[in-house]
Parts: sequence; C-alpha cells; structure tokens
Amino acid sequence: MKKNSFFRRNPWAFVAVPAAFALLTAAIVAIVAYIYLSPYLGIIGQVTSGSAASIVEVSGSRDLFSESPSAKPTSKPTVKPSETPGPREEIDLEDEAVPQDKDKYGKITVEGTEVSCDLYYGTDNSVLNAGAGTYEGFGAGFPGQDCSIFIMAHNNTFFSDLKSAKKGALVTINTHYGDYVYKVVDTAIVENTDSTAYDLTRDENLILYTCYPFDALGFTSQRYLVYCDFVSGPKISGYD
Amino acid sequence: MARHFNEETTRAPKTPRRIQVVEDDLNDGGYYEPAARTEPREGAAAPWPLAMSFFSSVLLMVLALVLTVAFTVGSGAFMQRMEKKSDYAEEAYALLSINYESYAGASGFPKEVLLDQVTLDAIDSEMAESIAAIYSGEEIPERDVQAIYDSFYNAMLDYAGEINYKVTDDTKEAIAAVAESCRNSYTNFVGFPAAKTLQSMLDRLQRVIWIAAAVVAVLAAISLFLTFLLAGKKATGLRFLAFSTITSAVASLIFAFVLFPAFGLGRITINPASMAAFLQTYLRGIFTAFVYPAIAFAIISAILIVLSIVLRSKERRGHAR
Repeated sequence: MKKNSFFRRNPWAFVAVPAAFALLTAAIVAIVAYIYLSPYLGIIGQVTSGSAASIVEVSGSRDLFSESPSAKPTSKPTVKPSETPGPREEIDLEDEAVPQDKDKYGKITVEGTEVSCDLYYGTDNSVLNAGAGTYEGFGAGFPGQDCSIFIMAHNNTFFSDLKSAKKGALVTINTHYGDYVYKVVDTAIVENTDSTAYDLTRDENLILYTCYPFDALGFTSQRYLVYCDFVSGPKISGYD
Repeated sequence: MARHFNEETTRAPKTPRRIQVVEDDLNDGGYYEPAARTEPREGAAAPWPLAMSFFSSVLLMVLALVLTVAFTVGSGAFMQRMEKKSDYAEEAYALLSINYESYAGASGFPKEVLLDQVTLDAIDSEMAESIAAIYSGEEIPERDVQAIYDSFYNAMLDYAGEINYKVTDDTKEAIAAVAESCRNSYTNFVGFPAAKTLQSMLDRLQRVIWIAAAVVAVLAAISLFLTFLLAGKKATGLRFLAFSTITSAVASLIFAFVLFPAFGLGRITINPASMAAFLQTYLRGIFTAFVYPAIAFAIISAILIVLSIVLRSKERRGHAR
C-alpha cells in the first residue's frame, strides 16, 4: 500500500490541501486580529454602521406623506378643521410611521399668505432647502404630540410671505397620520438668542419661525415668530 | 534491463548481484544496485513537506500583502486615481452646494452668488496638490482661508451694489457672517484631514516596505526550496509547491472580494460624506488590488501542476523501462 499517496498522487489534493491551508491561515489570522483589534471593535463598529455614503438632495430621508390619503387633493382630511376644540381623537402611530430626521411627513399652508410648502422633520440645511423643517430638540415635537411645535423655514424662500400672516388666520398642517389646524394668535420680532420668546411647557401649540427682516441681506440677528394655538387634530397615543 | 544484465555477465562479478526490495515511502518494490542508476528517494514523510508547503503559502501570502501595500498605499499615483474614482470633488461640491443654497435662502442672496466662488476644478486641484505633497515629502500647501473669505464677501458686496441695496455697517456685518459660514463650510468639506500625520506615516512606510518585501521574498524562496527538497521526487516537489501557490491564490481572492464587505467597509460613516466616499473607494481599491497576486499565483500554480504531471509521467515511463 502506498503511504501518503493522497498528497503525492491524488488530483483532489490540489483542492483539499489548499482549502485546508486557507482555513488554517484564516483561523490564525482571525484569532490574532481579534486579540489585537478587540479594544477597537466599538470604534470600528461605529464608523462602519451607516448606509453607504452618498449625497442626495435630502439624504437619508423618507417620504411618508406623498402616498398618504392626506396628500391626495381630492381626499377628505382625517379630522374636519373646526375652530371649536372638541374631545381629541386619539390615534396610534406605528414605529415606522414616526417621523425621523429628514423625513418628509406633511405639508403646511398659512391662510391669507403664499406660504405653502412641504414639511420635514429636522432643520438641517438640506431640509431647509426643500421646505419647512420641524425643530427636533428637547421639549419640542411634531403635531399630535401635545407639545410645542417649532416649524422654521428661510425668510427668502418658503416663509418669504410669512409676514402676511394675520391674527385669526388658520394654519393647516396635513400629515401622513392626520390633519391639524392651528390659529394665529400673535406675532413677534425677537433676537435669535432670546430663549424667553417661547414656552416649551405648554400643551400643543405651534410657533412658525424665520429670519428677520425679510428683505435684509446677510445673516441677521433677529427672528420673526408667529404664535398659533391648537384648534383641531388627532392626538398620538402615548404622548401626554 | 536485459542490456544491463548482459553488461554484468561480461565482467567478472565482484559481488553477487542482489535483488533487494527497498523499503521506502512508495514501496514501489524497486530494486537496488549500487552501480546502477537508482531512483531518487521518495522524500521525507508527507507531514514535513506538507508543513513546509503551508509555511511557504503563508510567506507567499505575506509577500503578496507587502507588495500590494507597496503598490497601493505606498503609491501617490494610486491615491490620486482613487480620489478621482471616488468623485470626491463632486461629492464635496454637492455638500457645499447644499450649505450655500441654504445660506443664500437665509441671507437674501441668489445661490449662484455663493456657488460661483467654488469650482470643481479648484477642489480637484487642491486635493491633487495635497496628495502630491504628502507622497513627495514636501510641505503640505496651506490653504489661504482669508482669500476664500474675501471672495465670498466681495461677491456679496458686489451683488448688493448691483441691486442698489443700501449697504450700512450692519449690512456689512451681516454679510461678513455669511462669508464666514461659507469659508467654514469650505474648510470642513474640502481638504485632506491630518495630511501632515499621514505624510510622516507614509514616509516611514516607504522606507521599510521594499526592504520588508526583499526579506520576505528571500524567506519565501528558501521555504519553497526546502519544500521542494523535502518532497523528494521532482514531480512531488512541484506538487507541494503548487499547494502553496494555490493556497496563496485563494487567499488573495479572499482578500480581494470577501474582506471588504465582511468588515463593513462599504458602510463607512464619517463626516464629511465626501471624505467617507473617498476613503471607501480607496480601501476598496486596496483590497481589489489583491486580484493581481491572485492571478499571478494562479498562473504559477497551473504551470507547476502541468510540470508535475509531465514529470510524473516521465518518471513512470522511466520505471517501466
């Protein structure tokens, strides 16, 4: 019987032996790499956790609104706009339907003005180039969360006619989960650093926010605020 | 064999002819005659040439790794190619466009007033100069941030003049704030971060990489020679060498196509996104470059296998005679 004839004669050795060598090398490399790289695995995971880098108009956004019933011109709003606040309907919002950063989730119109634009969640530059943005900081939220809602846009683009908003005008926000109405109760011109200009502890209310003066060149230090009280719209369950 | 027998009988035999079964690895049942041409020994037991074959494959893989690093990381031309391939300038320009469009919307200027101050060519040329300086060891060109600021500021003032806008001190201050934001965006999105650090690292790499390649090449050559020697027969020796080169070819292919996605390197999320795109393309290029050693090893493997088969059949014909 020939000894070791598999290695010396069998053609399958050209497959089996390199495969075994490769596995053995991979195992050794994996063990050594794990020993030396384990302190850095957290950082490596963070750096490689996102989606592939690409630049789109509002990168990483979802359009939650365009296919919703509220977006269709002929569709009736989920809640009929009314100036008389009644008991609020409560709705459940599934996790995947909750607006995330840069998601387009609605449309905002201000009665008596030319303000009518898409509404996004978040306020970075890509959002403000595409429409109005919803401030996502502590204490603020989106319609239905029973808190203060800050919506901002540039004074030279989507909110250029916000100055025409009069007391009593209705502000309609159509979202993919419901329609909301607010009424303008006041306007103000404040410094951009004035934190007393708004109250984050109130029940649901809306503040429209843009730079001032409207025809100024350059970055100004003043802001134009339009304060609106809640009129109607469903409350999202779980937010009190 | 008959001829050989006849030659023996014509001389007075000094020692009786002996037919001796030689115990060897093959146990061919060959016969031994001191004066006769002998078959070479079959070689060491298989574990030894096998172990050397494995060791050779590791050294060949290390050699492939060192050479690939030398021709990719160690090459300025490679980095320039990857920078172009990643569309770094286009990605940076797109990021700047988003910011400048927003600044324009907030400041009353048409976005073209700001966007016209930056061009793709300028971004490309700045990156090309930085990369060239990094690899040549020359001083990294310092960006003239004041010139960038001035170009935005003056362009905005010119526009204000065109529309007959009354420029007061407050206006100049407001415009200066925009110019500063534009300059900051440019410095954030364009340029090579940590260029000086990278330059010193590459300088050290370039000094040692070719020495390392030479050392590994010598070690690999010695290891391959020992593998061949320990195997005994030439055909068997070539077989064990082929095991090494096939392993190295397979390992190179794994480096080329498996490790990049396995480590999640296609999902790098660093800021700015333009640098993330460049880094991704650069790393993908380095890993893909392992295709070249894979091809080289595959060709060598094929040659070794063919030679091994040819030699073995010659040996068999020699046995048969």
